[in-house]
Amino acid sequence: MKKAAALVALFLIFSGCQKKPVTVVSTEFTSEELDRIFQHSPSGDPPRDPTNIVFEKPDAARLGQRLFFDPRFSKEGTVACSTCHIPARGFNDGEALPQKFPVDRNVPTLWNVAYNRWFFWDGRVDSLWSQALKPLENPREHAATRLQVVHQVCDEPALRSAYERVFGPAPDLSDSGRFPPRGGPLAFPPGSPLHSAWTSMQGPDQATVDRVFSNLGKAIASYERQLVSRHAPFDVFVEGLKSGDAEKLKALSPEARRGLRLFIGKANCRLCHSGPQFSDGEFHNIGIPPLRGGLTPDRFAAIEEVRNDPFNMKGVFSDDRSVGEAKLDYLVRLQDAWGQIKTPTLRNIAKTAPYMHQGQFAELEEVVRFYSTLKGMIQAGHHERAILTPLALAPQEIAALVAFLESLSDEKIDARLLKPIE
Amino acid sequence: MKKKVLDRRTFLIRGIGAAALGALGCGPGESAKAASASRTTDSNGGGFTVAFEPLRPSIPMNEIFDLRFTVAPKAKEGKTDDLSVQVDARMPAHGHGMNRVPKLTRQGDGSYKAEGMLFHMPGHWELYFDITQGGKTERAQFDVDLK
Repeated sequence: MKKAAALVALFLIFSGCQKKPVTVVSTEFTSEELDRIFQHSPSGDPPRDPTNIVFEKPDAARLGQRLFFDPRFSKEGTVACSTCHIPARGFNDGEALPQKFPVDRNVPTLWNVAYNRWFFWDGRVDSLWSQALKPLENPREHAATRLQVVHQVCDEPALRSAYERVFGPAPDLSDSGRFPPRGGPLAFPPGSPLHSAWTSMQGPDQATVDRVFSNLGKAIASYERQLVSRHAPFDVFVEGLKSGDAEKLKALSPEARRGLRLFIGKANCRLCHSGPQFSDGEFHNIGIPPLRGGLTPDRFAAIEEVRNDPFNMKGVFSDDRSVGEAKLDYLVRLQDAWGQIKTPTLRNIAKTAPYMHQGQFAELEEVVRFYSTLKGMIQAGHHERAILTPLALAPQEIAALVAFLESLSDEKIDARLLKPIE
Repeated sequence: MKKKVLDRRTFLIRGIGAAALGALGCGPGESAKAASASRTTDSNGGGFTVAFEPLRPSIPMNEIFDLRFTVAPKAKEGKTDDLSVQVDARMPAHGHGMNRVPKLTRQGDGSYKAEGMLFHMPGHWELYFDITQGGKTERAQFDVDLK
């Protein structure tokens, strides 16, 4: 069949569903291979989020950028989002597991984060704005309290002004009897002074704080929406395939092209790593040996958590609750969820080592080698074991797949987005 | 109830439309050939004829979609008001199904609507319509191949 691939393949496509036909001529790929390749590029803009009405507003993005790099939104004033999501390290921290924080998940990249359907490795959050709120109150991460965060914005003139440009008048929180300086519903343990500070508040005052809190998440999401990578050498190569531009076709080395053919063919990576983001955005159990513990049951808890999250897309802080209903009302606890972890994007994957949800592999080659041998795979009698069989790749094939994965890198971005706003 | 099963002509016209739109390359999903295939079959017990159509030109890959379907008893005097119907889909080669459960509603014309379907992976899916009446369940099954 490789010979057949060398035949000239004529492939008619209609770019972007418009009526303009494009004739693709390839001496290298079959029409079926071209069809599969074109599913991965180009990548459009991040999807809109109607539950966040400021998602695409520049003022919101600027406010979000200020918040993202500001360590004051933490218990000790030392932890910002950028502490773990380090721009120069592919928006992760380069560690298998964070060394500074007692969490057991690898820091996910923020490149193309706005394309996600679900958030966190286990999908326990349904929107980017809601995700941005969670580390702030997590005692193992920022360890701030909701009141502290909201006071920080409402009490400081510059931040308050930036907030009001986006969301309108901020509430007056100067009455410390009604709005204690610190405290929140997630302060641990229940009954502690910080927890009691929150529970002693009046419901409407809690709602006022919650509203500001949710808006801060929406601003951070607006900033993160801009962290887009979509013009990698692979995308240039696809442009070359469609246009016949010889220069663009040089964007992929012969080795990377062999890797591409494996990706969409023999190795079948495309089963889960589908579409322009090279991720189906869904959840699978691949039996990856954990650093500690067994196959994670996290997905079961995540389904419950997202359905009950007061900041989910169908809650009162959503700007379009119908979107949340359409997303969450069909989500139920299924046995298939055992051991499942979200498929990560492969865009900029070469820039975001180490890999897998606990950083099990330091290099891409190790990842590919795992799929080649499935050595150490946890045999849990799980449903998806049927499709995961050792690929038995030759060393050259492993190298080719790595070369292809490296061709998905594009870190070109406005440098002003990579640092605090001055 | 006038329209219990989508007639052949309707399906043919819709099939041609789906094939034409499928050829536009609007995204991964069913091939044009698959989208124009029959979407009508009898249940395995022979008691019902089930016909369905996605509420878009073809079944997409990894995009949420809805579908409409009808369940018609084969017997002349057969009833439909006491039916219990479920829709599900699985990938037999993978051993898993959808990551969500669609919501079914009965429409005014007697047809059903299944909302919130999601075939999140390319490959072969089996789409099941399980019809229960009087404690007996029959299954109408379709193949769906997503490229």
